[in-house]
Amino acid sequence: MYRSDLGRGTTTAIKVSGRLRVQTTYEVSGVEMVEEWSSPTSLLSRRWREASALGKDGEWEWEIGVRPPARVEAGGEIKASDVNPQFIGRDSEDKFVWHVTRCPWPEDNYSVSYDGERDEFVLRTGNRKYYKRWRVPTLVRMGLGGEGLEVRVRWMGDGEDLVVIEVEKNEGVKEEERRRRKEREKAAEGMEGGGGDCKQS
Amino acid sequence: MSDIKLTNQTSTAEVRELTRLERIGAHSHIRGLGLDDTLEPRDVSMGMVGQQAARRATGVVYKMIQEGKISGRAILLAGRPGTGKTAIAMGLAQALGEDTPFTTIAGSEIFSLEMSKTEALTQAFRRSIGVRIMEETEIIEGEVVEIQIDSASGTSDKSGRLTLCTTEMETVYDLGSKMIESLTKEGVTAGDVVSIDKASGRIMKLGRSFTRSRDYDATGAQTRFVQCPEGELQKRKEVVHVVSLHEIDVINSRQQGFLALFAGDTGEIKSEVRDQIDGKVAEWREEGKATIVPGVLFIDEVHMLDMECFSWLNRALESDMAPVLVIATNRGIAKIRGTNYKSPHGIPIDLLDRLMIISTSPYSEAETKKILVIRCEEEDVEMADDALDLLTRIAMETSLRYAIHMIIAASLCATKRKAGEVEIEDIKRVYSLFVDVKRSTQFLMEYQKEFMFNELDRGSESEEGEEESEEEDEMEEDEEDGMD
Repeated sequence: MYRSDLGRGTTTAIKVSGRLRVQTTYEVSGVEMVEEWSSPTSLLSRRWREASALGKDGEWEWEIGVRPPARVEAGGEIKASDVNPQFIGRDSEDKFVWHVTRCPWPEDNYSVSYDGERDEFVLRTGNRKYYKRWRVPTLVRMGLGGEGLEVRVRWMGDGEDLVVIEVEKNEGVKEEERRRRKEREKAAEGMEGGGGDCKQS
Repeated sequence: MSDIKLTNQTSTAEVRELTRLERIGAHSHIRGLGLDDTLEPRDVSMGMVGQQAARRATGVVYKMIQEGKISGRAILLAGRPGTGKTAIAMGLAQALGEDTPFTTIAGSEIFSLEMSKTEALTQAFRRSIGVRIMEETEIIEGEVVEIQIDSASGTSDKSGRLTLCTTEMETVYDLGSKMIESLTKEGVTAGDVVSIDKASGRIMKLGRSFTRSRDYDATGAQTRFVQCPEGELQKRKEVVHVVSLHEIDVINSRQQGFLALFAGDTGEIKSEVRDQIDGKVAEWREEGKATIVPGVLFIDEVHMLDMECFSWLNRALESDMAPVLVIATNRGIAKIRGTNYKSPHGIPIDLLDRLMIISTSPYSEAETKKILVIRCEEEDVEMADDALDLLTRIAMETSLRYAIHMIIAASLCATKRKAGEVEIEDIKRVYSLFVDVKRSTQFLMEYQKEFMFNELDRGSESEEGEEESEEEDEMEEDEEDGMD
C-alpha cells in the first residue's frame, strides 16, 4: 500500500492455528490490512486491499509473503506463467528483504540501484531477462525515502536459483516496529490469560 | 487451426474467417442517421433511405442529446409497420457512438416473473445513464517474442503461451482460450507491439517493432513502426471509461459473505443501494472526479406496456437523472393495456402530452427500391434489374418486410439452378412458395370451414382479430416453410 494518508486504524488480533493474525481497517474508505505472525519477530505475510472507486472489493496485494494459488482458475484471461521469476517480499528484524525466485543466471548478472528521482529501487539483469522497479511500502507509509540506505544483492545458486535483496532499515522504522511489537505482545498475552483463544473441543 | 505451433506464420485466410462474427440482422445495414453537417438528411446515406422529415427531427434530437440538453424528455416514433421506426432508433444509436449509453428493450421484455415491472423499467433507465470516471487498470505492454498455441486433440479447449519482452525484461504468460481467440482475431504475430488490458483482456496492437522493420515485405503500407517499450512489462495506467449507473448498482448490491451463494446476480436492487449510489455519484461530480453522460433508452413496441408502467414513466421522466426516452409504436387508436380505455397510440393522454411525436410515413416506390438494393448488398445477393422491379412492385402491394424476406429465399433458388444472379423466375417461384399476409387472409376466408374450432361462434375472434393482425406478418413465413 503506497500511501501515507491512511489515518488511524482499528486493529483486531486473533490466534489462528498457532499464528497471530492482526487485522487493521483504516479510516480511508475500504482499506484493509492483514498480517500473520508466527512469533513476535517473524512476519509470515502482510497483505492489503482497497475498494475500487466504484465500490468493488479490491484484490489482495501481497506486500510480504506469497499469494496462495487460486483453487479455481478463471478461464479466458492472461496471467504470468510460473516459469517466470517471482518477486516476493520478506521481512527481518533489521532489514527489508526481497526474494526473487527462479533466477538461474549467475551472480554477476544482477545489480540493484536506487533511483532517487522516482524514489524506487531498481533490479537489473545483464542478460535482460528480468527487471523490476519497486518502492519500499513501509517507507512510503512513513513518508520516508530510500536515500542512502545500504543495499545488498546475493545469488544462491545450486538448484535454489534465488536472488536475495536486502535493504537496511532506518532507525525510525525500527523504533516504530518495536513499538508495534510491544502492542502485539500485549494483545497476545491478553489472549492467553483471558481465554480469548476459545478451545473448541 | 489444428497445427501445434502457430508462430509468425498464422495464415491470413483463417484470421479473416474469424473476424466476421456479426450476423446479418434486420437492421444491420443501418450505420447512422445519414445526415450532413447541417443536420439535413442526405437522400441515401448510411443505409437510411427517405423519411426525410422524421430524420430531420431525429437530427435535432441527436444534437440536443449531444449537448446534454434533453435529459428527461421523451420522443415518440409513430408510424405504420415497416416504415423505419426501429431503423431510425438504431441510426440514432450508431450516430451517438459507443460512449453514449444506448439501451434497447422491447415493451414486452419487462414482464418477467423474477422482478416487478417497475424494477425492470428502473434498471433499463439506470442502464441508460452513464458515469464517466477515471479508474486505474493494469496493462501489459510489450513486444511479442513468440505465440505458442496447443490444441488438445478431441476438445475445443485450447491453451497457449505468449512471450512478451521490453528492452529490459522478458516474461512468459499463460493464455486462456478466450485470450487465444482474440489474439488470433487481432492477427497478432511475433514482432508486434501490443498492449493488453489485464482485467478485460482487451488487446490493442500498437504497431510493429522497429527491430523487425527489415523483415521480409509482409508489411502493408499502413504498418506503423514503434519502439520496443522500456522498463517493466506490467504498468498501471489511468483510463477514463463510461459505466452505467446500473453496473455500479450491481457491484454494490452483491450480497457479502456466504449469503452471496444464495443470491443471483440479477434480481431486484434495494432502493437504499440506489440512493446511496446517487449520493456518491453526486459527490464525485462535485469533486470533479466524474461526469454524467445522459444516454438514451429506446422502448420498442411501447403499446405492450400497461397502465402502471405508463404512470411510472410519467413520474420517472421528471427526475433529474432521467435519460432521453425514445419510444416507438405502430398502433393507431388502441386500447391502453390494463384498462378498457382507448387512446391514440395506445398511450394515455397525460403521457402523450409529455412526448415529442415524430411520425414516419410509408415509403414511396422509388425509396422502397433503394432499400431493397441496400438489403441485397448487405445480404450479398446479386439481382437482375427486372427482378428488382418485380420485387419492388411486390413490396408496394404487400409489405416491405415480406419483400426483404424474399431476397435471400430467391437467392437460394438462383443458386440451386446455378445462376449467378437472381432473375424474375426466382422471384416468381418464391412468391408462389411463400404467401404474404393478404393472400393468406384470403385463403383463410375461403377455407375457414375446414380448419379446427370452426364450430365456435365468431364472437371471440373479432375481439382478438385486430391485436393479432400485425404478428401474423412475421409468423407467416415460418408456417409456410413447413408446408413447402
